[in-house]
Amino acid sequence: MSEYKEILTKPIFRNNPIALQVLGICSALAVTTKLETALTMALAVTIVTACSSTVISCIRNFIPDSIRMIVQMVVIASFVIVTDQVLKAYAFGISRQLSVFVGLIITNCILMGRAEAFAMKNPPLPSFLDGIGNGLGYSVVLVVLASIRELFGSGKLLGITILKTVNDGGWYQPMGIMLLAPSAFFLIGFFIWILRTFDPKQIED
Amino acid sequence: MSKSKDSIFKTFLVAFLTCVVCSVFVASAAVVLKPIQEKNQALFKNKNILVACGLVDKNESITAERCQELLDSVKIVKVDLELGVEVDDAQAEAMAAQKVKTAGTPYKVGIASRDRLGLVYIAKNPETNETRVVLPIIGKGLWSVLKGFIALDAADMNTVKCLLFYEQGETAGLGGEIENPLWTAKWVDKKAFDGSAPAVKVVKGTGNGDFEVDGISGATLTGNGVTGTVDYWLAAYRPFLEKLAAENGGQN
Repeated sequence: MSEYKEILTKPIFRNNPIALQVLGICSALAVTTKLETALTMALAVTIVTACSSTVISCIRNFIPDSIRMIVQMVVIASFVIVTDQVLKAYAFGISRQLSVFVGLIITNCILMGRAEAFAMKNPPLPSFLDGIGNGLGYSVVLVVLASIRELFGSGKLLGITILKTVNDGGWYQPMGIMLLAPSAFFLIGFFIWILRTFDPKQIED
Repeated sequence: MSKSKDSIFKTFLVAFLTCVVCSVFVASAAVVLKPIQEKNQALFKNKNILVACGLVDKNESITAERCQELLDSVKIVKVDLELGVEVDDAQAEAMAAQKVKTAGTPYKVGIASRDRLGLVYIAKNPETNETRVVLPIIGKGLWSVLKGFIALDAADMNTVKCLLFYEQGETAGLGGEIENPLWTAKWVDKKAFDGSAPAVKVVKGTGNGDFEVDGISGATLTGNGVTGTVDYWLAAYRPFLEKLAAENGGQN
């Protein structure tokens, strides 16, 4: 039981896919200008990682080595397309804002990484938990980035005004850089710094 | 175990089965969700008509009922683009399937043929008393079909009041910026026609004067597509717009 808990919680801080494995950076920069899109993206990635890891783990003993990556890609791509279709049907506005990035979950290295490194070697239940755990690890970083970027970049959280900006007649002068991709790089840098201060084992020699 | 699963037969079998199962999964999701998606798309299109008409703010979210209610206040005119005249429902139905080749005009709209039947939306804003004439436009950008609306001020049938695209698949961040309100805002108050020929266009760098709109860096080809599309449709609707202007003049 504690073993399962370990699989689930380890990727959140101690083996975070973005902060330690440095995977999935592209979408972490692109979808974090607003908390709403970041939450949707985080949820989508978590679901897809969990489902695809489970399925790949179920059929791992039948996948021939020569085509294993292609089979993994087909499974991942199917889940991504279905997720995209569901978003288009039930969250049309958000799916327009996320535009290509939901489709690009297919190329998110976290998914391939977990399929290849974990699901191919472990039974379905641990693979499912590993998928959820890594999805949550990705989500934590996305939510932290998006909260900071939306709050300081446009004075809002989830679209609700927190700091009234000068343009709306308030006092807050928004930090324009927060809405640009480089700010996410800086913030990920700080996130990694803080993480490694508390957990020095993550520091590479 | 590992020997047998790597045989050529097993490899083909696994590849085949994976493909079949996944394609059934994807296809059924697409089929089941299609009606809901189409509803969303229709609502989004109608909302964009209202935005172009100046009746709804772009960032406002509106319900389907409210959208329909506002749309009912918009006058929708069916136009025979060949003759430039308004047609009634029966005539419109008769020519609904007719296509017209786009070749032979100087404007690069990028699509081979278009419907003979056109739609014009005429809306009066009750608050500002401004009347807008909204024309649907469709053409090709760099990669994809662009669908949108252009609104002209009914007072002179020339001043652009709004341009927006509700469907496009251009490169996100480059050509995709044609959907960015900051860019489409640059079209407002430009003049559509110089004399009787469409003259408004997207230029490289900074646009000057009444007819030039700033280009988006990295999206020159998309910009050319927008120019071709807008000018093509302005030319196509021109005869009808002239008639409309004459009628309005007569009434005043």
